[in-house]
Amino acid sequence: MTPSQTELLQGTLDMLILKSLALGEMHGLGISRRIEQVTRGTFQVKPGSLFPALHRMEEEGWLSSSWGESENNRRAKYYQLTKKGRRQLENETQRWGRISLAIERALET
Amino acid sequence: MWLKNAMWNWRQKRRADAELDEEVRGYAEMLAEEKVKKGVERRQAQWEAKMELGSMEQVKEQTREARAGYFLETLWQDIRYGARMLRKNPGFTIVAVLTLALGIGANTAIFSVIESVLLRPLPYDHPESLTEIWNTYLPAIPLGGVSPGDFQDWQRETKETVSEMAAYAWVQQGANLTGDGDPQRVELNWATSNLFPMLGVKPAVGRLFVPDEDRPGSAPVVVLSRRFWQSRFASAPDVIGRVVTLDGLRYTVVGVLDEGTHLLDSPDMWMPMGQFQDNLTEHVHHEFVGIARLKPGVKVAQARAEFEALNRRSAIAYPTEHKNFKVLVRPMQDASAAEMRQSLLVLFGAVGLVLLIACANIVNLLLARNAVREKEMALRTALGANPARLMRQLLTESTLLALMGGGFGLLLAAAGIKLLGQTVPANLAAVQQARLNGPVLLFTIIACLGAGIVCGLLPALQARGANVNAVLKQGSKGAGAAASVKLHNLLVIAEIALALIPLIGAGLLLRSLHELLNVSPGFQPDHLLTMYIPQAALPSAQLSKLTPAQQRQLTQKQSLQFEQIVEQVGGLPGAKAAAGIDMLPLASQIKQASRFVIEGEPIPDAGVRPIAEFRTVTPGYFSAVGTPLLSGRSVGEQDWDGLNIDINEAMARRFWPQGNAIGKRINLCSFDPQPCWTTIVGIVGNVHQFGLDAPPTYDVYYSGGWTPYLLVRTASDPSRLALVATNVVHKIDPVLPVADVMTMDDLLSSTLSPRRFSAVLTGVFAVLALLLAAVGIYGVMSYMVGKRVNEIGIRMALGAQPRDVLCLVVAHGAKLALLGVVIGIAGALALTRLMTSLLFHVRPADPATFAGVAAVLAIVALTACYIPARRAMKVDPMVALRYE
Repeated sequence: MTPSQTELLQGTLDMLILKSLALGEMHGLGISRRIEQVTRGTFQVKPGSLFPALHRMEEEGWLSSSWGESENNRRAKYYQLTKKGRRQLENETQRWGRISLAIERALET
Repeated sequence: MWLKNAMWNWRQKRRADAELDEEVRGYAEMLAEEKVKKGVERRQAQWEAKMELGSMEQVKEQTREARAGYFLETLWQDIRYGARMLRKNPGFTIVAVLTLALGIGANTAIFSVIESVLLRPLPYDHPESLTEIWNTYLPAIPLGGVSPGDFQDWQRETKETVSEMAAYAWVQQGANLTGDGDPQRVELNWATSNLFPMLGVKPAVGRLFVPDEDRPGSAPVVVLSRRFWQSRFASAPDVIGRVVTLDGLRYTVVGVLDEGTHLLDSPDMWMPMGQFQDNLTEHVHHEFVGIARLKPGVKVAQARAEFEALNRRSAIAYPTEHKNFKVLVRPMQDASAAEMRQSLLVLFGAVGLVLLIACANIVNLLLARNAVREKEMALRTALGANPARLMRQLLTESTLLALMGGGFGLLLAAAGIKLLGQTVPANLAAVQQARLNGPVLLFTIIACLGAGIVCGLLPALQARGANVNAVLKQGSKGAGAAASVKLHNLLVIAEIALALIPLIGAGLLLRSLHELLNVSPGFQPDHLLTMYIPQAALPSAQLSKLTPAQQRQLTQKQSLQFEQIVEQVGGLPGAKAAAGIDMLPLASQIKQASRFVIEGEPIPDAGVRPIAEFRTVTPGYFSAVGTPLLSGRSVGEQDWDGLNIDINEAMARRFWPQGNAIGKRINLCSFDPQPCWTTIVGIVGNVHQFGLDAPPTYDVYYSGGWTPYLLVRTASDPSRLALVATNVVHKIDPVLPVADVMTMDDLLSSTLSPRRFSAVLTGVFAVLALLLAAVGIYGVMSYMVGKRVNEIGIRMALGAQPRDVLCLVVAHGAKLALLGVVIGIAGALALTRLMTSLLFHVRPADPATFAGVAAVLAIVALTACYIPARRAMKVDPMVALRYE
């Protein structure tokens, strides 16, 4: 496995999805591309992880979805953050900050 | 919410599948499009997209699972995790499951009895709209029959609330069946022709009664009960048309009832109303129980109002006979249900408290265990575990425990129901119908889920409230210490208070039983054999044709016949004396009672004339059974003409308080055209005819005639004389049936059995509550001492003596015990008032019971504290301080 294809921890994937949707609604491929873009290709999300995650998060009430037109006039399912999702993103961000700081320190010493 | 989503998913599965398909397909096409834009040839791009996507079906499957299975999966995870935790702590699991099994098992067993006696609908058509109609004559007769005349009037006149009204005889009567086979005593009842069709009871063979047979003088027919058909006729289908001889009269069998009925005691045979007596329009004798079917939508209260109006009309139409009778309308119920309702509800309360105590014990165990897992929980919370999810997991665990406990509880309940069925006395036969059926199992499941939530909620809330930072910072002692101490104190207080209530209830019932056993029945019940040897009665039609002289002659003949039996049985070796009476004392059955007037005194209104119970005895009866003769003489041979009577002390004191009853005359047939004046020749002690708990009635004793109950005073065990005495009777008259051979002690004991049943059973559950509470208090105190080892070590290092430590722990326990007792007493005071009707000579707030039970409970609680306190005393300060 190459570093560029690092398997995503579930929690991390959730966070990345939430983050990419923070700017506005997006369909599956868009989310996948956005994650790739912001992590500079470190994380490539495969549909086999993406769709289960999207549907589970919708179930948890973090996302909502609606059908719309894609750039090339195709019907596509768009996802957007809910209020609950936004709160979750904040929590996740904070938590991630703590953990990454802790791990960084742990590795430094 | 989880469940709702899962359901929604299931229902919308097809639509969701189509959408998912479109979504994933769209993804693939967009991917291909992207590649085309980058310059890849279209077919190549589509192939690459497909490869990148992997199997489309697999993606969809994974997504579906993520979605619909989300709830089930997490639940399954919780269950697996819970099961693993329980397996890892077998000691904890076994104790918890057994505790809950006791609690749930006891509740299931008692609920099954309640279900069978109180909740199971009667096996009739639409039982909810059936009501019973009774008359009352307060205070002497709280529940009495309706006269045939009133029944006929009311049956005709109820228009508004009742669609149909039927009746059957309140007091069933015995008759001697002779002919093929041994002579046998059978029980008879009389029903109107519409009774069985109205109830929906069908014939097994033949037919039931027809309206013509409701009229006096109709052809003599009988319908057999299924039970009697099986035992006497071996279920022969050709029984229809056979002739049976009852007390010398011939009746044709026309049918067999399909099922047993729940009307009083099931009789062996039914006769139509027309056979009951010639005059079915009289308003004097209150012989029938009315059964009314209410019109759809009519409430019992509305029917009550209509019957009260009808009753008032009867009182105006027949002032002499009917004045002061009230009418009572109530939903039809099994005869034993009303009697047992109160004690069953008390028992249910007691086992409910047992279950609560069991739950309190589990809460303590869970808290102790969660304290150990506190760090694990805190860490998981810090790492982002959903607190709600953690809580749900703890609840899943406790529910798992409760369900396991319920499983074992069902086994215990099955054994308990079997034991109850075998030990319960015959007069509580309804208890034997208790089964582990659908409603009972449903109750058990609800009890399990309830117990699981009650047990799990407190620990779960506590775990959620725990401060993550504090826990992680602290050492092994764990955090939330103050909150946890408070919770444990609360548990001890609750256990004591909860155990106190059933103990006091049981104490009151047992004291009542004890008081009752101290009541003298008015005779010597020990070493007394009783048997029932009924002689065939002359049909009333024939009897009424006899001249007074002929009647006296008949009485004389019967008296002499019975005297022969008395003499021969009384002369048997081992027999000290013998005597006869027409109804056993304590039997709680009305033989004959009548309103009377006193000679030379103003005659009161019919409605307020006092009532006297009639008994007929053989000469020497009082000395044989040990009822004292207080003054005058006892009735004997010279009184066989029925002109002299003895009365009991209660009657003498009430009506002749100056003690001058002897020689006075009373008229015991004040409603008949011909008065029957009798002279009081003696006063005898009071005898409890209607059970030890009923106050003595006014009794008059005649002598002369056939007295079917034979009593034999014996030198040793009375049952040993039973066979010889039966043989003597059969030698004198081979066609006399001998039935109900038993000792008076047995009869006395059976009259007490309902009270004993509820007192002993409540006692058993109260002791169970006490034991569970003791174990629980011991557990909590041990745990709290364990938590304080460090503190105790410091105290001892600073110079505290072991005695001081002992005092510290015991004083803490005593404070909790005192609080628990105070709260428990308050609760008991509120609850025991509800059981007043079950008590006898004991007030619901009986100070002796309250003080005694409180003392016992305090001692048990302090002992449960003392053992851990002793352990605390032996703490080695050095070890304790190092213990981290």
